[in-house]
Amino acid sequence: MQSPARATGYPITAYSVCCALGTTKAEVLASLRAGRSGLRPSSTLPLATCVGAVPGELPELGGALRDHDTRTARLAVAALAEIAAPLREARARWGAERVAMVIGGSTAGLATTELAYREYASVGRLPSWWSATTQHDFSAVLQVLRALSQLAGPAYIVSTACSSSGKALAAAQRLIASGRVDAVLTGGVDSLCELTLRGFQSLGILATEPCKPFCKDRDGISIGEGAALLLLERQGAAQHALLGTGESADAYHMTAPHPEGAGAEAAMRAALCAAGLTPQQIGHVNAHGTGTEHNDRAEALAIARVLGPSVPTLSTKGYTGHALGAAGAIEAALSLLCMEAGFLPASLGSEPIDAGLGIELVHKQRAMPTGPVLSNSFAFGGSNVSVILGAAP
Amino acid sequence: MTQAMYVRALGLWTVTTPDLPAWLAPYAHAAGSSPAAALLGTRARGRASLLTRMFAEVVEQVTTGEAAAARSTLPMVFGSGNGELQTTSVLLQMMNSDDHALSPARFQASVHNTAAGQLSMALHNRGFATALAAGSATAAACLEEAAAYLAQHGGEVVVAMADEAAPQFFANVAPCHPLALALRLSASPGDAAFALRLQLTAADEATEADALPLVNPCASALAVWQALLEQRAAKLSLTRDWACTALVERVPT
Repeated sequence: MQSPARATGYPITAYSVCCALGTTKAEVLASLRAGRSGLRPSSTLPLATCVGAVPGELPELGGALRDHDTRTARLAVAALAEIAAPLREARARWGAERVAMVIGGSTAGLATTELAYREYASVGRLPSWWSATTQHDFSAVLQVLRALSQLAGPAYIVSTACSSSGKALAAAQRLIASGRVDAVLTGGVDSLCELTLRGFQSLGILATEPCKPFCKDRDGISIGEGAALLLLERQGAAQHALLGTGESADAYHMTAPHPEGAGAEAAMRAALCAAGLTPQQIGHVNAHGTGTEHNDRAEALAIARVLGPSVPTLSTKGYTGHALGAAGAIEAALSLLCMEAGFLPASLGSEPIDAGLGIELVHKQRAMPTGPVLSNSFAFGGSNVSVILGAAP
Repeated sequence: MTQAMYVRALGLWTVTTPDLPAWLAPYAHAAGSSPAAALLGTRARGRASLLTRMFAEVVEQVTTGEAAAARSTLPMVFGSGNGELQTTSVLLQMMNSDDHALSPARFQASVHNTAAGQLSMALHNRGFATALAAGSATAAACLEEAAAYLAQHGGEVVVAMADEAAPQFFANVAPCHPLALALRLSASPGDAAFALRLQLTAADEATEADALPLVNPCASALAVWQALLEQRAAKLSLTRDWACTALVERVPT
């Protein structure tokens, strides 16, 4: 567990989200309020599973960014559109070189690389339309976001599998706290691709029906995609703030969580410490809640130990699927939307609840409880992060 | 300017080849045919990718002599421009085979934080570890992250950067000579002889570290490593992507 740090909350002055529920905050909120899942049987990928694909057509990148065109880049651009105006204001307020960019992601341009590889394997040469540097590379999406936002501060990708964008938020907070920059465009982006679906299938944890986090009949993960961007500033007008983050490692197994949730517990306790909060002050938990037998059990044990058995807990994976490296940022955005709207969405798919888990599942929509949300993201490699979002000080 | 990061140890590994490029010749003493990576243990080492073994080798170099308890609490920043490219390439081959089936062991070892996960297990380290990428600015990104972490938490941090040779499919467009290096940095001077600071504006007199042949995303860190090895002060521009000049300074005695 990381050493305690002083409590430093930074206002989230703007944010955007694009996921299986829609490409704007309004669309996403409407689906959450209606209890409508974005998970559908895959129509393009040859696997018996449901996926959380972003609906509609995403415009191709054109002009100088034509050679950067990938689904991941398009998702990032879609998320950037809704945050462009406040980002311009932040750039003017702080100076372009004082605004950093820290983005979480795990698949980068892999979906496009799969197509290029198929052509390469078939005809023996690389397709002329494909570039490793501008499409496959982790940094390709940074190149797109920097070109469109004209930000000139440090820019990097955090790629720790499914904890990537939660850890990007933590890195963003550190960059401001250290005095290096005054604002950070942070968040995450990941797109659906065949390799990750087949990979989870090879591990035997890909659900055939929409995932059922914390349900007694849960049988695995549904994969999703999307992007969410958050503008974190040293100061500024905002309803909500990033109050604290905590990071830990399981040091146990590459894919299986520690069975008692020891790493998850360490991350949650570190986040509480960083935010200067007691467990009793947390209003609800946005769980990692993927819907696998072991993940949900380990997380529930950790939540019960740290926050007690009665803190309202939900998973939004039943709406969006697991957006991998983008999940932490997307779920931060969903949490902010719901706090602003004053309701807790039902944890879709959780009924019949696994009563043995010993936590308070939000199985029906209810009023938003008082207090901050603690949101978890856990990953391959035993990488854990918890972030706490609440009313701006 | 960031706070000083005091340099406690250096690690480097590159591959020995008959046609070792001239720009790597000064570091031939740190080269080998395969990284020992003893830190991983026999079983994990046998299954680990070259990239993960490269990371393990340089992390071992900067933590050698430490008690297990100290190793188990060191925060770690891993950086790689391309990540587990060889493993990804094998998975793409598998996916294009007749049954399209992937190896679960390969899949779980394809994530960018594979080395972070493997080394956290090898060191029983349940603390902070992250994995970054920023193309040719990867070295700059790792040092930015380390500086921010040390400013907030103090103590020490291990920064390890590595990229392996690109497999044939990627090599056509992204050649890469294998290189791994590590720096162990602390917030307080102790007995360190040199310190690093990141200057936030481009220094006119700075040498462009990235003027080295860009055959490895982490190449710009090699100039920092060289200055520290030769025990000389230097101003080195780490990236053209943002204003990030590394100042290598002698610590006053």
